[in-house]
Amino acid sequence: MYGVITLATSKGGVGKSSLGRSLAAHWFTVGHKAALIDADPQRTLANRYDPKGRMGGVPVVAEPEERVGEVIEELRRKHAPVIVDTAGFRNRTTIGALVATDLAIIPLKPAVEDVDAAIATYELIREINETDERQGRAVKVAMVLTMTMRGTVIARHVRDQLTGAGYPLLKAEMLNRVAYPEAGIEGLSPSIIDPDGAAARDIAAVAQELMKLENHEFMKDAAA
Amino acid sequence: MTSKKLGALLRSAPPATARAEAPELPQAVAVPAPTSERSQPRPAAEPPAQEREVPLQVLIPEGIRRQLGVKAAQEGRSLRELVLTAVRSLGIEVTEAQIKGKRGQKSA
Repeated sequence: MYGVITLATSKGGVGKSSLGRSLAAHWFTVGHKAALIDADPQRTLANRYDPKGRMGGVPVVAEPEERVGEVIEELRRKHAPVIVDTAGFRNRTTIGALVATDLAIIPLKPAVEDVDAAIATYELIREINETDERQGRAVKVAMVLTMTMRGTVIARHVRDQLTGAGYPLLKAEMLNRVAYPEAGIEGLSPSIIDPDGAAARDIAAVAQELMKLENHEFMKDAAA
Repeated sequence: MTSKKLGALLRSAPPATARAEAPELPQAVAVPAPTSERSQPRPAAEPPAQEREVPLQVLIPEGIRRQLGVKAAQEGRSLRELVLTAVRSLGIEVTEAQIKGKRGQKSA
């Protein structure tokens, strides 16, 4: 299991928080001690967190600001994975989280603005991998398509373009399903509310593919 | 101790939160250029200064709402200002005073 996973992209509204909470819920239900850090000033995760609720076992630490590195280190002593949700714009907290992360997930909708932001974030991670702090232990990175409609031309086009250019796009997708906002009302996720449902299966597929990345190395040039 | 390279990366980015450095209210509001003659606002007379204001409530996708909130925080403008600016770009007549609203009058 990864120690730290950071969801990052310089664009808002791509489903970072939903994916982060859903992955935490998935791993929580299969027995991992997941924790969440809400480093997004919007506080999407923290605002809906109910310590007495069904996801109360997944603690949420809000607004670590520029102490994010210390907060991650503190949490990772007792939790894995520690999942960090970041703001929809580039800032020091996001960079701090990425420096401390094992895996970066870049969510994107099948839209040109999201693709631009995803590529910019990928390049940022490449730069981070070139710092002394990450020498010899490059951050792994995976892009994930979110809010997709099955079988649409634009989703297929974006997938073809990104994979054709060599970007690490997961085969699994987070399809556009009402289960996410419905579960989100109570700060929950499909894996908790309806573990056998289609949305929970989507998330399980994403999680499974992410676990297979552990021995892959996308940033060969930067890590050399 | 932060390496030079990481230090440079951190210096290139704004602080942790948009709230931490919300800019002052801008003097002028940027308006996208009209794309066609049809969308040009007509140079009509100023509407009444004390026109009554009414509520407008709409349901929009959560992601768009979040982006609006971030944009408002980053630019130090209210959601109302952003919405009225967008409305004006559609060709509907909206004055600067109407965009600024009561908040603008107080700070002026």
